[in-house]
Amino acid sequence: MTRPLAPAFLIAFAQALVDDATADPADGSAVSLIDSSAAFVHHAGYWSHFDHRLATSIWPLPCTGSCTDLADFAAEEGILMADAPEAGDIYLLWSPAKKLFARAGIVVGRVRPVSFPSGRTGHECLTIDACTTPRGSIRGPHTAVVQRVLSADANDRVIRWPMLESIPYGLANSSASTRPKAA
Amino acid sequence: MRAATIKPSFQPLRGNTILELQLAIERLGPRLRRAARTIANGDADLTEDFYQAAITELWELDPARFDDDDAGYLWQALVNRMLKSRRDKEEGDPTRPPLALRFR
Repeated sequence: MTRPLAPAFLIAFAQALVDDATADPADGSAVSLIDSSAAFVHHAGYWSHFDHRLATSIWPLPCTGSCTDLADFAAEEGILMADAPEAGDIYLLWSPAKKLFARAGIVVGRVRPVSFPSGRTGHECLTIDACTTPRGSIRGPHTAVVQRVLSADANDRVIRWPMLESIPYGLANSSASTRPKAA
Repeated sequence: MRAATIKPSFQPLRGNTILELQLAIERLGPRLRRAARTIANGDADLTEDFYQAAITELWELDPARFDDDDAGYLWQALVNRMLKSRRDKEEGDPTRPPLALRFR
C-alpha cells in the first residue's frame, strides 16, 4: 500500500522550495537547477509522492520541461479543465502572443473572483511558481508564491491530476481515448 | 535551563503580477499617451479616454503573460484597442453622416 495522490503533499513540498525573501540576491541562492516551470512541477510532484520504501513515486504526470507536452498529456487523459482553479491544481498560463502555454505552476488557492470590463472573468489565485520574479514574470531566477489572475476565458487551463487516482494501474494509457475530453 | 527561542529567519518570497502591470504602465505610458493623442487628433478629452481604454486593455491582457519578445504584439493590441474606442465613439455620434455619404 503506497500513499495516495494528495494535493496537500504537493503544496507542502512546493512551499518548502520557495526562495527566501530575506536572502541576499548576490549570494547566488536564487539560482535554481530547475530550468523551466514545467520541470519544477514535475520535481515537486514526483518527490512529494515518492515512497522511500518502494523507491518509486506515484506522481501521475509525465517528466517534461514543456507546458505543451503537459497539456497534451492532460487533454488525452481527460483532466485538462477550464474550471475555477482548486488548491493543488497544476495551472497552465496561456500566452496570447505565442499561442501556447507559457508557464505551469501549482495553485495554492483562490483569493477572489475577477471580472473585466470586456466580460471576461477569472480568479485571482495564489500560486507557487519557479523560474519567475517577484512580479510573476514568465522568466526569472526565483521560486515564489505569486498572486496572479487565472482565467479560462483567456485560455488558461488547470490539470486536475488527482482525478487520475481512480484509474486502475495499467489502464491509464490503454483507455485514454474512451474517456471524455474535458477541455 | 535556557528557554529555546524560535527565530523566523525565513520569509517565503511573495510576488504579485500587479507589479508587472505597474512596470508596464511606467514603460509604455508616455508612448501610449502620444499614440492616444494622435488617434484623437489632439482632442484632450478623447486622448484621455483612449489612453484609459488602452490601460484597461493592458490590465486585462495581463503583462505577466508576456516577455520581452512579445513587446510588438502587446503594443499592437493596445493601439488596436484605442482605434476600436475611436470607432465606437464615431459610431455612437448622431451627427456623423451615414457610411454611404462618408465615401462619396
